[in-house]
Amino acid sequence: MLTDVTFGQYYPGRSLLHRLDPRTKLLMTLLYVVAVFVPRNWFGLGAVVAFLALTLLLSRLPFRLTLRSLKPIWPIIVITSLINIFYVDGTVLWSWGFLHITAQGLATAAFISVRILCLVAGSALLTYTTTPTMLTDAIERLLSPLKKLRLPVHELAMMMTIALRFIPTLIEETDIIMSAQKARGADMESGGLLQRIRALLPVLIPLFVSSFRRAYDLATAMECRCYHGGEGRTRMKQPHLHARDLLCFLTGAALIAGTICLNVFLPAVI
Amino acid sequence: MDMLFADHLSFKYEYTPEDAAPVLRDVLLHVEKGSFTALLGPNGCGKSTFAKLCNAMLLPTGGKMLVLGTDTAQEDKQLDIRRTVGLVLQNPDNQLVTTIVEEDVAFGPENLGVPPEEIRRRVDDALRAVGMYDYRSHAPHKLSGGQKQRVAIAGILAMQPDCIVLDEPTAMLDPQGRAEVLETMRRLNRERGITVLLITHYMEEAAECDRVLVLQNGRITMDGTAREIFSRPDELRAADLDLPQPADLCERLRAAGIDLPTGILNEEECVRALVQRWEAVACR
Repeated sequence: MLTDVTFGQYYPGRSLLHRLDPRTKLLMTLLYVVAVFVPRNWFGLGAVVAFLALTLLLSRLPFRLTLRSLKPIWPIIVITSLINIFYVDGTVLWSWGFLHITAQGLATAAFISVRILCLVAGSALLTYTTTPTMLTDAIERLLSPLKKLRLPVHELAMMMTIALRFIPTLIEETDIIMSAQKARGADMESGGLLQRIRALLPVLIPLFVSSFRRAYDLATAMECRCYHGGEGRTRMKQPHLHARDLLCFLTGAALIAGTICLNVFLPAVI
Repeated sequence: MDMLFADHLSFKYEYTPEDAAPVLRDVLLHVEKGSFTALLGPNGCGKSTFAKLCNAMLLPTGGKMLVLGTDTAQEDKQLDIRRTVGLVLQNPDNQLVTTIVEEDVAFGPENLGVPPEEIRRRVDDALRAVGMYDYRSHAPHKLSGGQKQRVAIAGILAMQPDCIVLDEPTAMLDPQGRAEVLETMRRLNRERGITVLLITHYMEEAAECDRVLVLQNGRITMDGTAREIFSRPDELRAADLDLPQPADLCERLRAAGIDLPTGILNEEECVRALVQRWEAVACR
């Protein structure tokens, strides 16, 4: 039941997006996140959606993956939409007591929903097409100037890799412990919030203990494989910057510039 | 020169009480290059401790451990020793570091500072050697226990070790996974001449090794070929160990007065002995 967490899971493939330098992908995602928040009218947002559609096509990922990445955010979309529909002032279309729906409210709700969908679908694309190791490697490389300030960049990247590696393992273990506690009569599905939190304790404590044991084992295994920090380490996969990376940055810059222009020249929706 | 040489080796953990017996006491042991040795022993006899002493994860508190003649206590040789003697641990889940099989196999050579193209070559070679090449871009948590353990072996293999010590590598696996791991190790020993020290508590696995050692209360109490060791059931039982099932069956039949040869190791030999015996009776 817990094992169908898909956000952050790599989907193997050999598409253009998969082969792109992870540093480029990471920076492009940042640019894209900015680009999602720039537009103030539908044309600008349309440009962002078009860009997203293009990258989705280039990634050659099955469409259901994108849909699945959007699944957990439905509640957020529903809540923000409701708030926008009822709280934005403007031409009243319908009212009942203190509740009233305005045309502007509907437009804003739709606009923000599309914005959130774009945001999540776009950032999920990064983790779908990039292995966590490549991602942490990219972070390590991008942050490497900070090593001069004695920031433990390699150690941070290694911690992220290990965390990502053990998320599925620990989720699986949580499932097992929960089943074990249920088999002993633990009740986790009824009662108030406080009671449920208390019911989680017998799950969390064994999980915590076993995590420490795992950490100890892993440290031993890493030392057995000659791990001695970031010094003198090489990497199997050497990223190289190509012309296509430059092209990506140009596209990203064009997208942001374009949406800014559209903001300036066309009327805003929100 | 021996692959491993424990020269009157003793070991005591820091937290063992002063007056308690050390985990290992005066162990004198040679492991020859290219050999396939099993180390047996009841729980808590110091098997895992011995494994960690082989690659300088622990250092002897008395005596010496020599790896190809190099003392493991030499701090500047530590990396070299760990590259020479690879250690595979029991829990396959806890020894895979990264999220993609091939990147995990690359972890060792990366730490050693091997150039990228050479790492690529070694990783492909190691994955082919353990039969996991087709899974190179998979996530480790989606593999079976036997497959994970083979990936862990590939991770050690990519460091090009001379010796691999396996600390109960099959304890958490199903029978099929056990067979996969054992078959892989036998092939590596045969084809690449890698010295293997297999720590196990499965007698069937030990029966297939060239040499069997029994560790008991911190001492090596039995040492010989599998056939010799499993012909001494009483001593084994005294060490809290069983016979492999076929040997056990023959032993019991012998106790019941049926004349069968000693030193039977596997099912095939057991069946052959029984058939011979049957024919001898029937012809009479």
